[in-house]
Amino acid sequence: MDEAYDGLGITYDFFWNIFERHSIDDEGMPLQGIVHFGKEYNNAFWDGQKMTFGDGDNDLFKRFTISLDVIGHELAHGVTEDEAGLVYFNQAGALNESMSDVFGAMVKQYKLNQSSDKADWLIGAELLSEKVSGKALRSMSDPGSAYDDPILGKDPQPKHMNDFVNTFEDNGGVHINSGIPNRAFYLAATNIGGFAWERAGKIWYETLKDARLRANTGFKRFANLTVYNAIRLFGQGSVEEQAVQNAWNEVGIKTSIKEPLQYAH
Amino acid sequence: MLIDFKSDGGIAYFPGLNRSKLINTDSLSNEDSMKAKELVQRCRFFSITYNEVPQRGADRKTYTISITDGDNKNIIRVSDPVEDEALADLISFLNKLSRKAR
Ligand SMILES: [Zn+2]
Repeated sequence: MDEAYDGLGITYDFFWNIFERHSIDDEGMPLQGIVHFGKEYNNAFWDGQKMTFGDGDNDLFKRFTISLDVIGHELAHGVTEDEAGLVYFNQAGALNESMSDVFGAMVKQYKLNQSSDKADWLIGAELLSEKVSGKALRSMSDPGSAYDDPILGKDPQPKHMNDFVNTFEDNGGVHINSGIPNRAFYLAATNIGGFAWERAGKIWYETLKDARLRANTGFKRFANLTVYNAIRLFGQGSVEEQAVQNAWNEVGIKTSIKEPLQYAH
Repeated sequence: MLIDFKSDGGIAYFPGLNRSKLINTDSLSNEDSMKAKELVQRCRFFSITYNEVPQRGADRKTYTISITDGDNKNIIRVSDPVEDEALADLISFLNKLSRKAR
């Protein structure tokens, strides 16, 4: 219980100290978490009101509160739902998932006081049992490399649009194709340097709050909005803008700032 | 009794865990077979109807369960958190059987 309590506390502090956000809804919504859910339950989820964590089966998975980024991931689902309501399906759903990994990873880095070049960029690095051949649920720096195991299978995340997965499974691949925007964030943060939350994180957070981020936004529109927000925050032609453009380019998404500027009219 | 059980979704997509499991109670141990039948009966599986797609939330698991027992047949789909306790018990047990079978 303490682990979940502490994890939610650190996540709250992160959003407050870095983004001046007062809880999930920015209006001080009490953070509710349920732990020890079900029996040997291998999962953690957000149900629209609260976070729930299972104990894991102790065979493949340990308890789901063990990784701070997983706690941050679940809380961030509440933030995304509140700000953008990104539909949990296809590309919008993969962006929803990616936002949770982005904030989850930053919460862990914040706790460890880690700059982006020192971070492991893994989600759930503590969660898999010793029996599993793998290092985490996902890798943001190298999507597709998190595990390759006889029981779990191989990490299916793509890291480039060329390998985008079309599927009806997993709500249209929300936990699969999130590898693409995840890697874009990793590239932007490491190219900019310093702490991820200072600049790349700020750009992503402002994009999440941008009114032009509609519920059904796809990767390209999201990417354009991050460029637009990089310009708004740091100036046209800034290192930050360049880093964000290059990051999306590297995962196969060509950005255009003309387009988001038009959205305003 | 034939049980087709599929668990989809969750905080990560694991290709190896996302396959549907066909469980034939005849090939289970006596104890597991009795337990499965008891849980199916207790949640009145053949008379419940669930076909839910959650509107909010994220990382929930969705369970699709199809059971055939003689002339009785039913298929349901539910997502976490499963409020029906007897059904939640059945799902926990099917998860356990799937683990044993892998
Ligand atoms: Zn998620």
